[in-house]
Amino acid sequence: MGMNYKNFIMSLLAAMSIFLFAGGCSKKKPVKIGFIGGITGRVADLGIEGRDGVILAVEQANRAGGINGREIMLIIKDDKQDPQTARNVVQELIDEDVSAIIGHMTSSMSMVGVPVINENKVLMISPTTSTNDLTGIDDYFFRVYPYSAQTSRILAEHIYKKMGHNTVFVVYDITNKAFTQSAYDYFKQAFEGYGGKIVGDLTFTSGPQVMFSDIAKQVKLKNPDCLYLLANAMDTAMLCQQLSKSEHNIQVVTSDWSATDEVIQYGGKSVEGMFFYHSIDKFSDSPKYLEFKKDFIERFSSKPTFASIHSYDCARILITALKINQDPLLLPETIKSIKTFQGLQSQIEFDEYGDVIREHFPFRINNGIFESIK
Amino acid sequence: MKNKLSFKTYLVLSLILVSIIPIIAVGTLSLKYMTEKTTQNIETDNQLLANAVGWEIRGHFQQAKAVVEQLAIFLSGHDHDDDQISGLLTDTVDQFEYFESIYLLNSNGHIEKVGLPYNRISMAEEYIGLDMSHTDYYRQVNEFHKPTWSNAYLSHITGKLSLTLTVPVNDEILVTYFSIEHLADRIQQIQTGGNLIAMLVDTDGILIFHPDDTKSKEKISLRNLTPVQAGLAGNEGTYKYKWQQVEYIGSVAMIPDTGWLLIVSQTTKNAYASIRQMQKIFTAGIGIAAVIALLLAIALSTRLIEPLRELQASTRTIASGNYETQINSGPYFETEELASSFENMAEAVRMREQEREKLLKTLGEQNEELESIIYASSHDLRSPLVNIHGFSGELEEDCRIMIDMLKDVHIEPEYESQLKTILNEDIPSAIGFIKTSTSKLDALQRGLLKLCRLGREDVNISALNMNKLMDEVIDSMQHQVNQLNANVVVDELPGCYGDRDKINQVFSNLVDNALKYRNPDIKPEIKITGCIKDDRSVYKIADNGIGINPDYHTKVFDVFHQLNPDHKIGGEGLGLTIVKRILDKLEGSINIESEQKKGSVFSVSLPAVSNRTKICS
Repeated sequence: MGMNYKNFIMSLLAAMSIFLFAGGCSKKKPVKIGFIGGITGRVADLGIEGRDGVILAVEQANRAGGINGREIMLIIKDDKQDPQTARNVVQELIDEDVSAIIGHMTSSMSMVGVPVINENKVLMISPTTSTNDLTGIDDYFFRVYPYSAQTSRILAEHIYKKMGHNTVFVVYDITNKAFTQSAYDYFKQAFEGYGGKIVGDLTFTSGPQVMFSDIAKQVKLKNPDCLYLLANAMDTAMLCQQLSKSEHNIQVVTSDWSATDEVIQYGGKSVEGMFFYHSIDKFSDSPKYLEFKKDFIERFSSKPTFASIHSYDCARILITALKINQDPLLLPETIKSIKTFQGLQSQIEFDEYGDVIREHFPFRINNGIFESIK
Repeated sequence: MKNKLSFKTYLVLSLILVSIIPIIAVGTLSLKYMTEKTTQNIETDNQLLANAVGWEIRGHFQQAKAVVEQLAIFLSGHDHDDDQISGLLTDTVDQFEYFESIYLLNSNGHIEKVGLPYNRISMAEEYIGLDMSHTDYYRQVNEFHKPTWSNAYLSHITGKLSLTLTVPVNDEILVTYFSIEHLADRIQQIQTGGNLIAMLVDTDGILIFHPDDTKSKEKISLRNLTPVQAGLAGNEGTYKYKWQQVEYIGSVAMIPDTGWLLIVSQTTKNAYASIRQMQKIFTAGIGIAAVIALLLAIALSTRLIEPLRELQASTRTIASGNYETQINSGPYFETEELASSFENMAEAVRMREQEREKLLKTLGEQNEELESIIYASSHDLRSPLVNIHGFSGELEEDCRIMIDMLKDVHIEPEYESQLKTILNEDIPSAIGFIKTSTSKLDALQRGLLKLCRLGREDVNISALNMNKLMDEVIDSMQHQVNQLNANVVVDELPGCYGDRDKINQVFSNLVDNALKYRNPDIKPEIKITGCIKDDRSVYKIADNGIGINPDYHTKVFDVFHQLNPDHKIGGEGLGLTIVKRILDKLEGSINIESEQKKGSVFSVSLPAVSNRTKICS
């Protein structure tokens, strides 16, 4: 055995060191991203749809190598549409050292969460927060959803000028008051500015105890040209059903919030002709969107909604920014420096406050399906 | 030798491997068997629970379906007024707590009758007249005309996951809303304790039930999990999967009628805990076995090697000349044989050593005798040579006298010519040859004497300044150098160890040869250089002379060998012999590089002086 014994042992030790070192090196720390939405309860559809959009984006990113070789760990929290719970779960995510948070899904919860993230300097990007109370503030809050003032102005113009309706009655759900109140206030301002008149308004708190027949009666009493309804899909369908039962044919105008397949399922013929401005184009032929839609259906067995699309865009924006600079403290600056991102359907451009101006797509329900109005 | 593996180390490693490898092999096979057995047990446990839960779910659905079908039959077979029907529906909801509500739809899909829990009965009017013709369940039952279960959806009333069972009743439709909560309660009751968890997944891959109630409410899609994909493809079985950063092993079974999946899982951490335990024991066992094996191997190998070490010590003693040493044979048969062989070898060496010494002694004596003979002969030959030379001279002188005398003597003409030839040519010529031969003989005799004296003279070794020595050599030949207009160049030379006079002799002979064997057509060039290589000082004397045929490179060192004996260059043919003899005595060597007509390079190697040694002047 004319072997060099010393060299053999040294080679063995070197090989073991390399193996251990490589093994150690291959286990990089994951990048943590948080998601917060109301994913349980009656109005969990928005939260669930948003969550699923983020899950798809994260799974796709991890399959493609994560963020510079680091796996993305998604931590999902349920704010249960409750302010105290929202505050707690935001803090929980911050305590878990997340790089950023996607959420909340509703304006009322975002109003609670934003002070917490600002205090802790953690970026929060919301898919569907529209309240104007968070507009034009240089802080750690970003969103891909147009703020109420934009949508309300466009809607008011359309109702008054294009539809020719002069009087509007407004019904809105105050469980998401930050959104609905803000949307109503700006709508009223814009509509009256055009020369229209708000003949009445009514609030309700979403729940199984709501008597939509009573609301329908009150609307009928005022005899408006148009009903502007700010509620979720199920409540919208129920109110429209009651209006139809009382044979009150009235133009119903609503928001993104109720623009899902559920409103047609549960509204039936009573929602025919319902009009809304959508923040997404349901019939977009953008290749990216079509591929996303295919992947989403395959993954979740349901069609993506505006919540899913905006959440997916939020996740992609975060991932793109983190790939450029993984320092969470610098995320706001990184996003502002990039400024324009390619979303699933269109470009998303942030202003210096983290707000966006987005295109609005007019739709109505015709013959039981959504129809784009060009 | 230093890089070879030690026999003892090899023995230790071999013993360790021999003991460890079987343990590893057996352990690996055992682990493999245990893993397979555990996996089988998991499948069995999972299957048992899956059967139990599956039966429970099936029973639950069948019971609910039976109730609804009974209700449908009752409604279809009798004429009832509106109040009766509403009362019946409400009673049914109240009686069976898993019903959230029941609706009777007319042929247009509008709600005609409502059954609600009594605490919500006041809401009944709210639902009557609602158009449900766009719902999936209405479309499905119209298409299939048979009882149809929906997938799970979020109830707008309870905010919890619910499902519907739709049953056609003539041209009307009975729609019942079920809460999954009661199903969850039943499943929980079955799987109390243990590490197994049962999950229910609908045909869209949505999690309907999980022991963690929170997960049940979140409408989580599990379509990306392997068991769900397999189950939805119609394949039951056991699969490993990762969910929410935790690894599981789960068995999937299908629930008849609904097409839902029942997945019974446990974490791989729990499932393979026993195997991990065994792995730890196995690893610890290997470690302990390795340590014990190492200690035993070291002890055993030391014991085995000891006789070899003793044998090694004995051979060293023998090598130092003590052939009588007794070799310890050790406790083993093989070492005894080896010791015996070594003893035989020592005896053989001893005898050969004796013979060698005897031969050396004889050789030494013969050499001494030969040298004495040569010395004596050389010395004793000297007188006769001197006489021959002397008397040759007298004969020559007498011839001259006789020639002078003949000038005054009359010689008969017939004898005068012959006499003149003898006196003027024959006798002088013969005397000339005698003189030349005696001179040559004298030179040879002097050379032999010098050669013999070399063997007898003492050697005085000192560190030599070779540049100084070389200057002395050149100086002593300056006349010859000038006469031949030769160019002699001496580089800086390293020092060496040697006898000053003898080294002087060596280089004198070599420079003399370079001048003697010059090319007569060109100016003689002699260059002397030196360098140190491997603790040896190597000096090169290069000339542009007539060169030496390679066939004679060794012969030139023979006694009396001359390169060109016909050209009468001179010398006895002993110069290089003396150079070689001197270098042999001083641990030196000489080497020739030469070809005919291309000059020669003589390389002389001598022990080099270390840098710290002072060079003697």
